[in-house]
Amino acid sequence: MGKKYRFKKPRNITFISIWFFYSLIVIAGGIFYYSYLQNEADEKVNEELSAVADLKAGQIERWMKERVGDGHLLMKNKMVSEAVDDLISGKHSGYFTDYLRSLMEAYRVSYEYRILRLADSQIRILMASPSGDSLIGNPAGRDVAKAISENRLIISDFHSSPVIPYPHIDMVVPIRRNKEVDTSAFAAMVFVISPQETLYPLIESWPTPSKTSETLLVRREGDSVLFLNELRHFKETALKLRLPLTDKSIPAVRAALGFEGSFKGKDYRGVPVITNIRRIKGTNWYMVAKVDSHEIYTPLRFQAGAIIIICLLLIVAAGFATGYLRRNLETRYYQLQYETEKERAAAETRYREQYNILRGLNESSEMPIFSLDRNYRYTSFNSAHANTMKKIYDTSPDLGVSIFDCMTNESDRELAKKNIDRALAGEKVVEEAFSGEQELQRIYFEETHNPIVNDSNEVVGVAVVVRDLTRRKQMENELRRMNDILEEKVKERTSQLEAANRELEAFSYSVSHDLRAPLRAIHSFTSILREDYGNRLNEEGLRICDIIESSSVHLGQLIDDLLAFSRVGRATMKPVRIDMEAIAGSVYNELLSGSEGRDVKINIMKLPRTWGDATTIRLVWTNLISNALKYTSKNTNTEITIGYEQHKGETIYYVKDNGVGFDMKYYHKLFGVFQRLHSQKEFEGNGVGLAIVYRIISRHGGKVWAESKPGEGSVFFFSLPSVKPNEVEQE
Amino acid sequence: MGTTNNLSAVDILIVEDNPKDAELTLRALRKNNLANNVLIAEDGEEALDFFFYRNKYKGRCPDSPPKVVLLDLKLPKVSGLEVLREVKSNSKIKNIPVVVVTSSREEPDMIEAYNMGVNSYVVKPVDFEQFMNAMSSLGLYWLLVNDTPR
Repeated sequence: MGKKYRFKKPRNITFISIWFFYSLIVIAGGIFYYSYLQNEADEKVNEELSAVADLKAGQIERWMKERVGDGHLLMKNKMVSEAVDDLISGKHSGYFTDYLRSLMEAYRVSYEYRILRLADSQIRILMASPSGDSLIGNPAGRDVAKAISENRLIISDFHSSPVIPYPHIDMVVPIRRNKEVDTSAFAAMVFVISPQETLYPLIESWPTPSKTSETLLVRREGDSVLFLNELRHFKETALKLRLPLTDKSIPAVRAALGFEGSFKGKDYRGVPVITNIRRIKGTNWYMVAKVDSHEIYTPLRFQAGAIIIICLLLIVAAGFATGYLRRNLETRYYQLQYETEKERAAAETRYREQYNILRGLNESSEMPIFSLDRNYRYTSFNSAHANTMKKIYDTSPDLGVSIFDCMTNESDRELAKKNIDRALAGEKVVEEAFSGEQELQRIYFEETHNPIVNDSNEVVGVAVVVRDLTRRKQMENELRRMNDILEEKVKERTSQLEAANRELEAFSYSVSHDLRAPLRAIHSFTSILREDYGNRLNEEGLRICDIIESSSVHLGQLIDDLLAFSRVGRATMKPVRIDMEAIAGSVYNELLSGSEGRDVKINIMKLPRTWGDATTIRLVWTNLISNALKYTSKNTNTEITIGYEQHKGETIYYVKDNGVGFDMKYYHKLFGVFQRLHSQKEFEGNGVGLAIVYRIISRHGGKVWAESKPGEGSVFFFSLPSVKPNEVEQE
Repeated sequence: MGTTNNLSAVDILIVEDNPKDAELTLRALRKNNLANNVLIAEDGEEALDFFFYRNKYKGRCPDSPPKVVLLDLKLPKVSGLEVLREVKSNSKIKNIPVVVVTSSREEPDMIEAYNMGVNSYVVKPVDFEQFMNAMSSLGLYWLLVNDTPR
């Protein structure tokens, strides 16, 4: 099975984490968006608060300037100085008194001062508006004295006193002497400024509709902050509510500590607020413009709700998506697992089948077969092997057991280890061995050790097949014995043959020698008879002498031919590479010189070379070509072809003539010794030439044959083996 | 017969057991007047006796070796090739020209004879005329034309 992508089972924690992190991101996004909106709102409210604070601070400053302006106007009023001087001196001129009274009345009514009081340097009230007020308490009294002695306008801070028990500001304006040399103050006008009428409404007013917005005016007093005005949410607080400076989350405390700008904190009620703090120029007051965070953030709440819903929707959707993904992946995982399992089961089945086949094959073998792993332990063996082990060592091999534990003989172990180790090194080892001491009882076997390799070509074990060679060895031995006997017989026969051959040789020698001598005597003495006694012989006597002579010459020729024929049979042949074309050509030229004057058209083809004995093959060509010349000698035009043809890988040489030919019905006699198909009168000859040809070609292991028709010429064919013979057969 | 006696100088030694062939050879030589000092040894042993001054050739004149020896191969007692070997292996007489004159044209005989140093090899023709011509030529050549060291 090939390598497959390993698909892990998806784990729930993975999906939960993915979903969790996704949710975190969504929530963070929501929070971020909400804080963005909050910031927007903060900025907006800050701008508004800042604008309101600027506006109010300006208004308060302007209001203060107006008050001081009133005072300065009074200081410069010479009429007032004269009137007061008049009053103090006790003149009480009605005009001045009225003027003063109406002036004071006018200030009080039109400029909204609560009380105006005129006091002299003894702090005695000279005149008051409304009238009836006759006492100046402290601290106003101290301010009067100070204003007169320092001759300058003094404005007190918010305060209340036993005489005027509500919060108010005293503005003390010195009244100067109206003399060129003396402008010292001799009296003072005390303006009691009540913030209730103008300042508090001013402070409390808000340019836009708001339920919680308010403006505070505070100042520091020792270790605490003092609220100067009435509060929107608490009543009766002006100059009464004090808070320690320790709680810096309170904007008023911050303001008292000198902080200016926007600030988020908790107000005196402990309610979260957004504020803007300003210092009022020319005073030690701080103004805190504030609005409840709750009011600002209320509209955001809806948006927050929307964001939360969207976030929740996204989270839930993500939950569904991850769930869906998880289900999908899980399905795929189980599907894959199912397929893998199916494949594995199929592989298992195949494996079992293969295993059974292998076991069946092993068992079907009569030869012992077994295999070992790298530690010489059995991985398989057949019963033939188990039987052998039982027979030799009386042990039973078992899977996983080392083969050496099943061998009881140390030398066998060593030999087996040597062969197995060679196979484990990757070599195919075939070794023959035998056991048994007696030749007849000896068991021969051949062990083939074949390395077993895995897919990566590593040797993981060795397979061993043992072949029992005993029968073969026995047969070989038997064969060798038979061969020896045969050889002995051949030797015997050969020596017999050699003896026969020697006899034959001696015979032919004596034929040659012994027959020729008397023949020569017959011929010679007949000739001498004619030479020495010819005059005494008649014609018939001389004719008889001729017959004796020619017969003896013929007999000599017959003897010569017979000897030549027997010589061909006895001659040793040395096969060499021979140039057939050269031999045929030279033979033809040799023979042609003996038949001068004839018109012979010869055609010698380019004959291929062959293996053969040069001397005897030359004799073949000589006989065939001389026959062709002989049997065309009565032609007017002679055509002889010396050629060859290839047939089934064999080279067939031939000599073709257009001579008299022969009748194929006598073909069986053609190659016989002393057999002739033509009379001596027609064509001379002894019928030995073709017999010699037949004998030579036969001894070469070739074939010779002929085709002819009377009067149409004949063709003589012969073929020779194309390979070099080891030695040419001896006849 | 114009053969010399045993002890006089010999020009031609004919070693031949067949008296008919010997006669024919002599006839050929006589026709050419070459048969004056001819000796015929009838077998190989007699030929060797002649060469080594033995038995009846004990008192043979030692100064004039034959000008040619005509040696048949098929001889009783000692064969012609045996005689040839004895002659050609003896340093004193190996220069005497020896011509093998035989009835058979046997290749092995011819090769052996030449290997042993034969001076010529002639196959006796069956035909009378050819035989006479061959023998005449031999006699004329070896006696008149050829020269040998003294």
